[in-house]
Amino acid sequence: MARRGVCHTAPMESHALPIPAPALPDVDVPVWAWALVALAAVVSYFVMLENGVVLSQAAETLHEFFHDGRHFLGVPCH
Amino acid sequence: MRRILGIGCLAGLAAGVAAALFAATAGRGPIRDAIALEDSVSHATGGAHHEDLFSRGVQEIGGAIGLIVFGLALGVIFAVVLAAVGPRLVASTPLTASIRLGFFGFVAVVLVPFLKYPANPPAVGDPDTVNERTVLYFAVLGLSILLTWAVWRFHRGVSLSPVAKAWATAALYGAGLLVIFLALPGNPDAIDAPTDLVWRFRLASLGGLAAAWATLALVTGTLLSRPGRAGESSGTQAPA
Repeated sequence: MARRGVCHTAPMESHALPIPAPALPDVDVPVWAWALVALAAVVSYFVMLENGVVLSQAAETLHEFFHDGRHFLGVPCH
Repeated sequence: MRRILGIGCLAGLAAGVAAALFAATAGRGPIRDAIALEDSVSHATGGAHHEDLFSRGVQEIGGAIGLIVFGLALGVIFAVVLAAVGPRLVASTPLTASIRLGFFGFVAVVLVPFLKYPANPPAVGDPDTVNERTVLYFAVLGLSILLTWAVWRFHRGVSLSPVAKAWATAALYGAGLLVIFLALPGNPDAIDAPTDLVWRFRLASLGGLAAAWATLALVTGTLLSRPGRAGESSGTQAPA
């Protein structure tokens, strides 16, 4: 996608005399935060896509329970 | 970091609730119609009707819980990515940074996969091709995210005039999208269900996901705009 927003904001920055503060603090993202991202991805996987590849028996229960949500998220389903 | 993660969780829950509300209103009708159709087809052909593990009502509740859990997970991912790329998003307030990331995220994670493999209601999918379709779906999702990341790196790295940069970035993204769309095969399933039913469902799904991403970005940005405690303030800018 075109990131035209940058061009849009460029003149604004040159007019502002004080250097604009970054919108967000430049925090270092610790490793545990990325670990949490991985965990979140795994959780999403179980909600979205588990078709029995990882879990065999429990998968069907999980699959059927979340069935409507899966379809709604647009992920492939039987 | 903890503050932004907490905000991401809250915003993710709100996004999940928004999606669940959308599913309960716009998505409910098409799903019921599709399942009724599926049952009538399997009765007519004398096929073995698989016994449902859960009733319709339980599945609707399960679907809502699934969407909320998914929203929570999405909120965590969104918050960490925002913390990582936020300062480079060329936004003057946390709200604009969040909305910008939400927009790009929605296009990369929802819209592009949807354009290649649109959502389908129950009764459309062929169980024999579900693994193939899952792989294809992951492929388009992964390639779309990869392309967005690559174009973002290009945009940040290249030194051109702003106008030339905008055109070069758009051209690169468009070309990448074209390659992805042409390289991946189409959905292997024939869609037998009535077009009207299928599209009612697809629009409900897309609308729900758009509502979820909009809620996620707005709530995250709004909460980040409130002055934080010392050390983790959200910048010196006035809240938007």
